[in-house]
Amino acid sequence: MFDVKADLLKELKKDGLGRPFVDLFISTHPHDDHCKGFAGNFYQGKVDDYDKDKNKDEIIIEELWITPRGLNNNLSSPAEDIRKEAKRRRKLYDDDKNFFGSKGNYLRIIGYDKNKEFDRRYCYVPGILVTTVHGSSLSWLEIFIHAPFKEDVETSKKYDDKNATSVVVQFGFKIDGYTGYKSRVLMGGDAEHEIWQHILDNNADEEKLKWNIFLAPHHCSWSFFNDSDNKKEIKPSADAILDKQIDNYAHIIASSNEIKNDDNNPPCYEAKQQYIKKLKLGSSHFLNTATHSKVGNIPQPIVFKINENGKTLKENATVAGATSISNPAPRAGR
Amino acid sequence: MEHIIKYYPVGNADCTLIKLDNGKAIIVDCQIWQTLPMVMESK
Repeated sequence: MFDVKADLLKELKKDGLGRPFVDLFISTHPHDDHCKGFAGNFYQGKVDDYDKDKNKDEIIIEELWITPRGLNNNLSSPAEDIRKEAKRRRKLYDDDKNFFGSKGNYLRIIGYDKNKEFDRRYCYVPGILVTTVHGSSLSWLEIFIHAPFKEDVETSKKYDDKNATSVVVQFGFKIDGYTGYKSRVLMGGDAEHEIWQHILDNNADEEKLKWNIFLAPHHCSWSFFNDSDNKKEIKPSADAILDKQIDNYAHIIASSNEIKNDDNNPPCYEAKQQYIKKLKLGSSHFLNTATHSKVGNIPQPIVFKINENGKTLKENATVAGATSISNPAPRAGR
Repeated sequence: MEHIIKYYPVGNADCTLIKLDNGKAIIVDCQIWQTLPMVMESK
């Protein structure tokens, strides 16, 4: 297994006291496969109580995003840890009407509180373009929030195992000296085809759905294309979203186990075939985290760099010396 | 100027890191084992 924590510690900055921190943690929805390892790896509680020995290497989250469903569920134990931390932060706002956030205490609930908005100091609703985190400008990134919608949150409460309430966002990356976005990334957690149709029905600006990189929802599940028991028909929402790819070099990422020609779902072999069919450059631009590149038998992260040339797939520097590579990274530059 | 986006290999799960040129970082979801299992979990 790849050591995610070690890599995060290498990538993240440390504060003046040597504590690692991340500016924003987005919890797309409260399921195990999106929350595991939160406790013990991310710091929970007042930053002033951070103990350099007991909490060593725990990552401080400056701002936390959670969905209403994430705040009110008992779906999974790891999700419960995120919920507790979100509730701790929310109480700070609710106890003090003049509180607008502080180090390690910022919170945003993404979505609606039934038919009304949450307190505006700590909520965002679909349709908002976010340019700051914990009171500080992101400068080179804008985040457009597409979902969750209030209706879908209510539906999800009736069917606990549904993936309806995922946060769906477009990340727009900017580069100094250029106007507009240099690259756009569309990610929607485990959002199923109904949610994507809902987004299409409500979206006012087509630009907000365009993508250079698309994360195949629910680990390359068939649920993006149709209900899981219907593999013969593709919903119009899937075609419409996949048609929003920009130019000829867009990539789709499947964050999943290896996709084999079997009946698993996720990852779903038929879904992979549909993605490849829709990509302008086909299979060379469909990347699976389990097989893209390996060092020995250990899968490595898929990394893109985004600069004045747009996005470029970064080849793993250590792959060249590896003795076992099951599926070398495509050499295509963009 | 260069930003990165990194998709971690975490099986049927999601964990993504975005790091901007100015050092600002975002993590979307997590899947981190306390001890690294030899076999990937399947959901």
